[in-house]
Amino acid sequence: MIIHESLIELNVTSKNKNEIIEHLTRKAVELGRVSDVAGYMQAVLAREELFSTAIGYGIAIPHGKSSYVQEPFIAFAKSQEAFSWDKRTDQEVRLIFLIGVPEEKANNLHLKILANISRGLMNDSYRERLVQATSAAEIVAIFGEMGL
Amino acid sequence: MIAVCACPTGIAHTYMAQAALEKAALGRGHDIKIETQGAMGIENELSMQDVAEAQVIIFAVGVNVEGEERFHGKPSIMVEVGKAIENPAVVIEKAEKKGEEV
Repeated sequence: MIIHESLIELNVTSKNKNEIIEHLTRKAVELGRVSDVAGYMQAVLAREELFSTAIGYGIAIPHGKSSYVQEPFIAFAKSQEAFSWDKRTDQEVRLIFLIGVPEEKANNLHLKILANISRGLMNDSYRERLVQATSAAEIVAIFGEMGL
Repeated sequence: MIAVCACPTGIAHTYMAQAALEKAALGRGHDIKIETQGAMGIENELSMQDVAEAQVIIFAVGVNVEGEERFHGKPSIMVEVGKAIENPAVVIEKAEKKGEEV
């Protein structure tokens, strides 16, 4: 599965984008989804540099396509308080979805799930449930509903 | 109206913009068909007939549009993908105005 309970962090206190991305990346490494923290983060931060991935609605979707990604994944973090994701735009963010896709043509099924979840995030009720959720299992269940 | 959504990596923004524009357009009583150009290639492709019938085209893109020649001569607006995600209603209103001008 693209999401996994061990890729979820529910009470993030950091208000620093790089710290949060690194924290989630380390979880992805532990699960074997990413082979190298620095290598993958470079792709994510380069994308972030192009323009901020804060998209409104309190959401940021940092993502990287990289040969260091072994298997597509979404890692999720919920911040205790909203914070400014990027000084250039000053968007307040609480929900962070870190997405990883391999460099080589990724499996279409995985891409389809990612597309469905992206569409799902535009749905107010899914977003509200993600904000309210108190356990990793709940988050996984919500992603399941969005992605399938 | 019809729309094309595309972004550089084609993994997330494209589909968020699609969902956001669809919802906003239907909410304002429009028929809308949206082609996505993402990591899975072109989906929900706009046919010649779709283009012919459309009053206005929305390009919500961060990259070049594939098959742009299909849309030559039609009234259109161009917005950033991010704008379509964050403020879809504003984009639809802008498209309405453009469609009425013609």
